[in-house]
Amino acid sequence: MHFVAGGAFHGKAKWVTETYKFSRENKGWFVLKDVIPDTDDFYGAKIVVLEGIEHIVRTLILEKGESARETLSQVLASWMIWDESKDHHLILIGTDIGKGIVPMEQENRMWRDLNGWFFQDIVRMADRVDLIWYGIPQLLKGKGEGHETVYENRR
Amino acid sequence: MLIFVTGGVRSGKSTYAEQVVSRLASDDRTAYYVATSNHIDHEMRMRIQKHQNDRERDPLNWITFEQPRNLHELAVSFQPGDVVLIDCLTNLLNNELFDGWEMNANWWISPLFRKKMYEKILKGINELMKTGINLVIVSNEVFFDPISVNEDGTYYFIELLGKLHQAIVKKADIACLVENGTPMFMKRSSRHADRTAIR
Repeated sequence: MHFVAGGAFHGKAKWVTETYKFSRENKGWFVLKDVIPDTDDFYGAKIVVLEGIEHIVRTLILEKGESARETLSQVLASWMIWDESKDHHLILIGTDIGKGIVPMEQENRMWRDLNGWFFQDIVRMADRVDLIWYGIPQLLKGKGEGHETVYENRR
Repeated sequence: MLIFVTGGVRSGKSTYAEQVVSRLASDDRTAYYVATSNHIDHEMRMRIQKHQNDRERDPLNWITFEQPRNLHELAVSFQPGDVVLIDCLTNLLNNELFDGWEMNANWWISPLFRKKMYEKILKGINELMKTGINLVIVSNEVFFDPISVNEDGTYYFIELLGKLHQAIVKKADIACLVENGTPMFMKRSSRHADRTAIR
């Protein structure tokens, strides 16, 4: 599994389309809003891209409150089982929402918290993680092709 | 050459950008400062005054242009090799996107208007670059709050700023994120490395 993260409007999805030569029109590309895709929905696809992981975190909080965290880890585990099958490749795209002012609304505070924890869980499971900065990838984990790692980049 | 400098509020991005300008400026020590804010309130005036005072202590001879909108109009003012600092892109976008707000114009609601403003700003940058100047653009990091679910003015502002950052970084020779006064180079062509390195 490959996790692609970064701030809003940083070109994350665009980078995935270019890196994998995989269009957003493809049936394996899911733009997440309030429905959590099941691995049955991935049937027939070799590459599956789930864009907007933060939206399902929010959806689950509105539905289930605190217990959303438990559900998220079950969902991730089922996605990982799909990813481990031969020829399957899962790409998750998530927007970092954790660097701003503490939100006024309790549900938005919980959203930020669970989103941060869930992203950490995803990174632990991922083979490769890239942080996208206005279209430029920084490799946080694993091996990439043709770009510098964060460490090499900081001079 | 195009250099993009971004960072959070009070990250030291303007100070760093001015150091870059000072390194690029030729022997006559003249540099151009493009101020983009519509200085409307007292607080903004104080911030501008602080930046002006800082620049007065600078050995560089700064020439200031007040250009809150219509960046392309400045293209006639520069010669090849001039060093120009735009501070900052966020004010410019704000003034273009919310132009006419005092009269409740609300043009920003139209997708076509937003697209036009995005293209207008990029075209302005392109026209300045065509004059052969060295251009340093300062902008601001505003992308890490939970994005508003409602597509209001703030949402569109952040969306356009993100898209502008992507387009400018793509064009830039050097792009850096300033954290606490220290530039982190995200993009740098080795050809220019020695001229901009701070240490």
